[in-house]
Amino acid sequence: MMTDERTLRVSGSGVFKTLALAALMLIALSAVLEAAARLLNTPRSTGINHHQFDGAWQHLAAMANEGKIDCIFLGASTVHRGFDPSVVSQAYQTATGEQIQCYNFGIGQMNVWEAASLAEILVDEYHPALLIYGIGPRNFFPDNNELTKADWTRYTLGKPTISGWLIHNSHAYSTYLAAVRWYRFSEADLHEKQTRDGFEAFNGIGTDQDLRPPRHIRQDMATYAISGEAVDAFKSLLALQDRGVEIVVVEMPLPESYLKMFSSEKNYHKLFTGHIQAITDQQHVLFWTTDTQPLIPRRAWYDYHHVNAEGAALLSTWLGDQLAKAVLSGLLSNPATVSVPEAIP
Amino acid sequence: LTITSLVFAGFVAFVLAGYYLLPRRAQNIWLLLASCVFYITWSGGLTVVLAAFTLANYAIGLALGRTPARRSLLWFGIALNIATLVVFKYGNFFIKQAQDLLTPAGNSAASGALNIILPLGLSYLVLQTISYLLDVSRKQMEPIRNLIDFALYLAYFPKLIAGPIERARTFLPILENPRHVDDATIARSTALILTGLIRKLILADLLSSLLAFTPYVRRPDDYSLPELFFWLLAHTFALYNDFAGYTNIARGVSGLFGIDLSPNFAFPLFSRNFTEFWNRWHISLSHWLRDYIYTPLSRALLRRGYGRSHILSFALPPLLTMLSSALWHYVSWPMLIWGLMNGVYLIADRIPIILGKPVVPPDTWPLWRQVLGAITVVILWTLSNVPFTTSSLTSLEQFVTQAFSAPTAVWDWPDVRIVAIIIPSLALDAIQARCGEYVVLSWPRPVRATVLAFAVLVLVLVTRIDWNIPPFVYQGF
Repeated sequence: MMTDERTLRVSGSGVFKTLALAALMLIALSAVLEAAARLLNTPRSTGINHHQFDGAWQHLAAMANEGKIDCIFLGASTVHRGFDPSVVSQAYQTATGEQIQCYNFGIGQMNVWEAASLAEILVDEYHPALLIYGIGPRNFFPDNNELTKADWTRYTLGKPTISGWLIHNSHAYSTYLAAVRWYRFSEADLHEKQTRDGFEAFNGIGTDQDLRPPRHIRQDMATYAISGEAVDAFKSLLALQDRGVEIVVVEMPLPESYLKMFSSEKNYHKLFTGHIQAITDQQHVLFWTTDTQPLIPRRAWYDYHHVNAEGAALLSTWLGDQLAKAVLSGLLSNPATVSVPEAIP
Repeated sequence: LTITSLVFAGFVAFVLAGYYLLPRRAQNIWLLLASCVFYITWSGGLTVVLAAFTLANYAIGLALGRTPARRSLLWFGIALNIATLVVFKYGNFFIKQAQDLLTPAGNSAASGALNIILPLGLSYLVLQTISYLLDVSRKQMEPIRNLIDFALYLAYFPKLIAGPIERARTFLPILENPRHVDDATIARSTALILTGLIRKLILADLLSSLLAFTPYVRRPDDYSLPELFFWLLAHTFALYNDFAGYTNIARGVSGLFGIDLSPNFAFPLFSRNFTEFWNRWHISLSHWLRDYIYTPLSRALLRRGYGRSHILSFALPPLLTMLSSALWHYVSWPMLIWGLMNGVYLIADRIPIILGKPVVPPDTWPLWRQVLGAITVVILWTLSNVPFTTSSLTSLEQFVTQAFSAPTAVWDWPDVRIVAIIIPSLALDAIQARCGEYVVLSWPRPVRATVLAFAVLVLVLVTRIDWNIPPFVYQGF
């Protein structure tokens, strides 16, 4: 007698019925969740793995709803903590009599690749007359590139992905990303006390220990060099001036302890500011260096690269004055009166 | 080939297709080939070590079956297995200790000169081969004469990298006989895989992602004691769901081949004392330790005249068993403290013996005592995991000192994100403990389909996010 040696003895009907029903339920469930998210107008997120990004993006959108954005400050935490848009505007108004509306889009650890991607999105979306990009030596290291890799960024810049499409078009999916964001970051991280124009001051005066750069920074700076890829990213950011936005690059001030890592100030200028100056000259972009010693006194530092509230006021006043001088001397157009055309698709 | 990856799913689908098409005699060869490919993707060149290890144990097993002087051969076999483990697993520890002793203080030039890589899953393989040699020597089973079957017993890919630790005498008959996969088997396997994915990708990974960015071990004085305890509790639940999730997936995948693997977990966090806990946590290891260390040692002591209530009979077997368990995990001073603590917990369960009272099984306890017992077990087990999370005695000492030396942090509510994961984890355990592991299969089709759809949706959403967390905790052993 033949024995049945087959391993697989599946009738199939039961399994397939359940699978088919589950597929239908999946569609129904997705539709219900989407409808509920739209009906309840739940919070949404871009899904970018950075605790400050969504807040900064939403604040900017809210501000743009209230009126035109004349200029945007872009950069890492040194910009976020260093440029107070209201102080810049005040200084500018004092010198020119014109009022400008600025927004600070500085977010922690933003490097030049991320800044280039974000700048393109900001210029296309908000058409500012002026983009001020604050830089320091560390912004030219690759680090995480979370912002550049993110589906939201890639999709917004015209590289289609399913996730990117869902973030833009599905309220339920972007609400899910908001839940992920809540889960990922602590309450303290999510509720930083930034002003409506994106600025947040550091209070307190840094001790000598605070002003000493940590070991990993010292190691990075020991063999400092700006890579070709970083230069390309920087150039792509500067090339945005072809879209009608004026760009100013600002060297963020650094304390003496930071500059010492380059063995001498001369070496720092050779490796960093000199290099940047050459690129900005080539691209016909203004580059303003900051002479730290007279500008930021010892008591105005918070740590080895951030200014405190007093430092931010001094730095912002300086920036407002610089802008006014540049506009009055014709080096820059007046951001308050310039009309920037819509981006050409 | 991480077992939660889509590549692994594709690999399993390919192996299954071949397996179902092949005649039974060729199926084991096919599975062995697949297992070798799987192992190569993990350990590459170290597959040679696995092959040599398999051949050596195969030969010793055969010899044990026919040599009259079995005792010395058995000890040789056991020594060979332990030596393999010592060299590959503990080599780095001993080298570091020797370097610390020989190198003058402040000179670390020689450290890290030699780094021995552990072949993946070796700790599990060694226990399986030792139990095989012992069982053959005790005539509890015949030696395996078919090399393919023996190699497959050790290398079978669903259990290769993190168990369960199967015994040859129960696993071999499955390999020698025809296997059948029907609708019910597929439904059970799917349920196991889905539960495993939910445990691993949602419950364990979400907790692990929080733990990875919370410096509660390095800076415990930043946290109040209740907060600190909740972070430790999060670690307990992450570890549990990580390993139980892995086991569920491994069992589910294996079930699709018609091969049942042993369950490794039976809702251990509901245990009411530590004796029960160790029959519910990493069961295949616990039972191995019970059968090959605890029971023989207890019997040897009884034979030498030490009665059940004698301090030696009472304390030595649990202590040595848990210290062995600690050493099996890895060699470090904090791990030995972990073993010592769990040994003491087991001894505490036996206190009635010293007092001349019978040990009453937890099922007969009044409800309040059962609840109190379960809470006590979770708290003590969580505390014993402190050494598990610290890498050295210095960091353990620092943790304990800072945690208890008047913490500067003010009392705060436990992080709601931990609670948001612990509650579903407990709910899943409660449902499965009460209604059975396959409870979902007993529900009407529309409910089953809805649960399946929801599980798939959640899993797809969770896997869209890069949580930046390490792979299965127990696959590094």
